[in-house]
Amino acid sequence: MIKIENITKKYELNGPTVLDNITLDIIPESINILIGSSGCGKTTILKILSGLEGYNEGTLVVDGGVGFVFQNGAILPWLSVYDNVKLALLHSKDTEEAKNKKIMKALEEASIEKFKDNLPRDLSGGQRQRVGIARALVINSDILLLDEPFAALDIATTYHLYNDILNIWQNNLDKSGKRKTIIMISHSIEEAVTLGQKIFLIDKGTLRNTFSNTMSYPRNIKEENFVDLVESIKQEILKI
Amino acid sequence: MKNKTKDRKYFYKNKAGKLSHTVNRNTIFITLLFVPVVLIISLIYIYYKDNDFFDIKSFINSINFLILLKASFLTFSRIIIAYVLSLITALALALIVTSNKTVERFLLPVFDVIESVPILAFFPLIIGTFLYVNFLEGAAIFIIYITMVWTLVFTMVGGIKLIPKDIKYAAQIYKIKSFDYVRHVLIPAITPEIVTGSILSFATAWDIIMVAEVLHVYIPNSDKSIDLLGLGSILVNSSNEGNHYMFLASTICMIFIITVVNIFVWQKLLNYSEKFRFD
Repeated sequence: MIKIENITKKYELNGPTVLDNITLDIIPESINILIGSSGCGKTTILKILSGLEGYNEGTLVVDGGVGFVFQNGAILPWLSVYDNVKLALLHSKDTEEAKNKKIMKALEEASIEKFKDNLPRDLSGGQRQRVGIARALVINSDILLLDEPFAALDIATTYHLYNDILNIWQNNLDKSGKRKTIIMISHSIEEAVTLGQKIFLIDKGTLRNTFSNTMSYPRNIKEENFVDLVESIKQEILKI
Repeated sequence: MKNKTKDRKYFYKNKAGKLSHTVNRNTIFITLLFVPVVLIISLIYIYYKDNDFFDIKSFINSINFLILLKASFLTFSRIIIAYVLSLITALALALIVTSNKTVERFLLPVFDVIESVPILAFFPLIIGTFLYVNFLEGAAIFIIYITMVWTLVFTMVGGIKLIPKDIKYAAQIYKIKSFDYVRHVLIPAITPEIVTGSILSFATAWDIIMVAEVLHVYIPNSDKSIDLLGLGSILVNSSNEGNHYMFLASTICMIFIITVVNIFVWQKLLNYSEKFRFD
């Protein structure tokens, strides 16, 4: 469960308000997208959810572990792909064999298992992002946060990763059969509509509007509902 | 198996425009270093060979190779001990300075001032202290250590500040904290800066051994008997006595040690440390 209610955040006491009494109704076991202009508070929301930052007022409940995929991967250049993912299990009490199974499963889900012995410098941007995704999956968290994971990638790689994210969400179930709750920041309306079941438009630290997307996967960008939703979001953004 | 694609090899084109022999970086370095050394030695020989100032037979006969070997070993050992101590201290100080912004704002200027104060001004006091506890080696090692440590501190602080924020965030998310963070993330991340800082600090150590081993100069009413055997004291004392053969021999020893360490340690470490750089 994730509860974000009336969250207010300032970095300094007399400084500007980064998040202003924001409430997000995150749907569990779904893909939720945050969109908005630069500096509107999207990354701050993810950092608060992951515990990287605090907040001044409001109620926050994050029930379950959190995995985080950073924009540039944030993987260590001196460790192989396998060892980068293994580092996330540093404090795990599993045996080496159990850890190895978890790591290989995460690498396969992120489609990067063939490169497990490679160093990050041998990988493309998309492959490095997959390492970040594998690292987030290996800890088997209930919540997956992604901070503009496709921002630095080309279109072809991005589309492949859309499918991978959807596959992970659909097939990576926990022991009770529950799916992960994914919260992702996107800089693209089309991307948000392609992936998201709920889209939150953030503006200057407040929630401007919320859009629900009940289309089934995979989504067709030429479908009328898709085009209409993209247009609605665009119009809302233009009003800002 | 060596990855040939990662070897840095240099090609040159012959007159026909075809790629010819390959040479690696170490070969180029050795060639570039030894050519001027051989040239200088040749020039010295040519200049002095007809001069009573220099006679090669007298040069070889008057050098005590055993003493030179022992002096080289002792000087190098002092530098290594001082280096290890300064490495540990520098890491601790760098971690303290970068622990939070308030501490950094206060401590960095303080370190700047301490680094700028000429330690030689306190050398008589330092020697006096170690003389009192009958540990003169400590005086030399301490002087070398104080000279080396600040270079390492500032290069490490610079390296720590270069670690991308996302790496620090990822470490927090995946609960890699405290000692685990230092061991698995921070020290590897600043390895390039540790290596470059070490090279610079070794250079300053070689500068200071001329002073660090010649203790009698700083103690009133003392004589050379309290000097520590080492390349620095041999250089100073042989220069004072006009023993130019011993001066030349100890200079050659020093250059030799520096060159060997450079080729077989620093160059290799510099290459190795490249894998720790963030893109």
